Amino acid sequence: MRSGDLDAYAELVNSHAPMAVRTAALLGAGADAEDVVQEAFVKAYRSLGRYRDGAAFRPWLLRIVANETRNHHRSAVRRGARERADFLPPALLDPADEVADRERKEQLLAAVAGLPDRLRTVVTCRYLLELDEAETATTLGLPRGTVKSRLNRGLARLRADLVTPGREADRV
Amino acid sequence: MSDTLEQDLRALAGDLRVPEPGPALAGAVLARVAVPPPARGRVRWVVAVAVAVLLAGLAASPVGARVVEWFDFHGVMVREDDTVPGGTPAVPSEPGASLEGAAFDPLVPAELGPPDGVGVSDGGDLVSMSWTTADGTVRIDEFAAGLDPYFWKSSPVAQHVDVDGRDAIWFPVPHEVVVVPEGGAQETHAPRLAGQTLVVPVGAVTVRIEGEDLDLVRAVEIAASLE
Repeated sequence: MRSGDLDAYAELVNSHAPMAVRTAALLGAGADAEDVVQEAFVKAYRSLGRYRDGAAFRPWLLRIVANETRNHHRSAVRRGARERADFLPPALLDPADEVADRERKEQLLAAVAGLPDRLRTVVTCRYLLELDEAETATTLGLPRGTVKSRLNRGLARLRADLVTPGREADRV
Repeated sequence: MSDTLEQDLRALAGDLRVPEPGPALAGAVLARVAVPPPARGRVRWVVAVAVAVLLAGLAASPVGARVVEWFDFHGVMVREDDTVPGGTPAVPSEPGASLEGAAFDPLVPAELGPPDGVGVSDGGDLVSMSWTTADGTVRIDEFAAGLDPYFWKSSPVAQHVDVDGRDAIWFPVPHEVVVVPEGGAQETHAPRLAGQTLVVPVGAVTVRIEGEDLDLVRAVEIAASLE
C-alpha cells in the first residue's frame, strides 16, 4: 500500500473505520469520533511514506487516531467546551441484563472513567478496545513496560474503587 | 479475584454503545486526500488547488483577483492585485556582457538572434538578455526553476495560455516585478515595472519574455523559437 493508490486506500478506510471510530469514542472524542477519525485517516494517508511495510497497520493507524483524539480534546477544552473537559463514560447498550448486572457494569464503567488519564487510556485500550499489550503500547506511544505497570496500577485502583458490600461477598 | 475484574472489563467491551462510522466517511477522506498536501503552509496549498482547477478547466481564461490571490508558477510567484502601477518599464540588461558564467545552458530565441545586451547574475542562476526590435525592446530572463520563487510579480490580470502544449502565463498589462534570489531577502533589487510578459517553462528553465510593445502572438513566436 503506497500513497497515490486511492481505491486501495478507500478499502483500507472502510475496513478499519469501525475500530477507529470505536477507539476515538472510547478514548474521549465522544460524539465527534467520526470527525476525529476522518482527520486521522487524512493524516495517515499523508504519512504512508513513514509507515513501514510489514508493520501492523491497525496499531499504526490507531496511534494516529489516539493522537487526534488527544488534540481534539485539548482544543475542545481550550474552546471552553466544559462538558468535554471531563471524560464521560460511554453508555451501555439496551439492557438485556438483570438490574443487578447492569448496576455492576455501570459502576465499573464509571470507575474506569474516573481513573486518571494515563491509567484510563491504558485500561481502555487493553480491555474495552481489546488490544493486546503490544498494540496498546503502539497506540498510546508508550514503552511496553509502561503499559504493563499502568495496567497493574489501573486494575488495583479499580479494585479499590469498586469495593462495595456486594463485591466484597464475591471476593471472599 | 483479579481474573474477575479483568473478565468483567472484557465483558464490558461488548456492552458499550459506541458510534459507528457513517457511510460518507471513506468518501470524505478520499475527497481530502485526492488534493496535494500542503507543500509549505496552508495558503500555498489552497492556492495550488485553485491553480490546478484553472489549468484543468479554464485554460486561457483570465484569472480574476477574486478567484486567486496569488500563486506560484515555475519559480514565479504571482500576487493578484487590482492596482496597476504607473511609470515606464525599466531599461533591460547591460550591453556587452557574455553568457559565460551562467549556471545552466541559456536558451536563445532564433526569432531574435544574438542578444544586444546580456546580464548574468553573480551566482550565474539568473540570465538576462535584451534585443531592440521593431516591436520595441524585448527582454528575456531565464533561471533554473527551483522551489523558491525567483520573481515576485504583482499583477491585476494574468492569463493561463498554452505554448506548444506547455502551460504558460501571460501578463498583458504592466506589472511590478521584484527579483528574489533563492533563500534571500525579497528586496535585494528595487521593484521595477515590467511590460507585457510571457512566462513559460522550458525543461528545467523558466523563461520570461517581456516587452513594452509585445503582444501574445509575438511572445509565443519568440518562445517557440527558443533553443
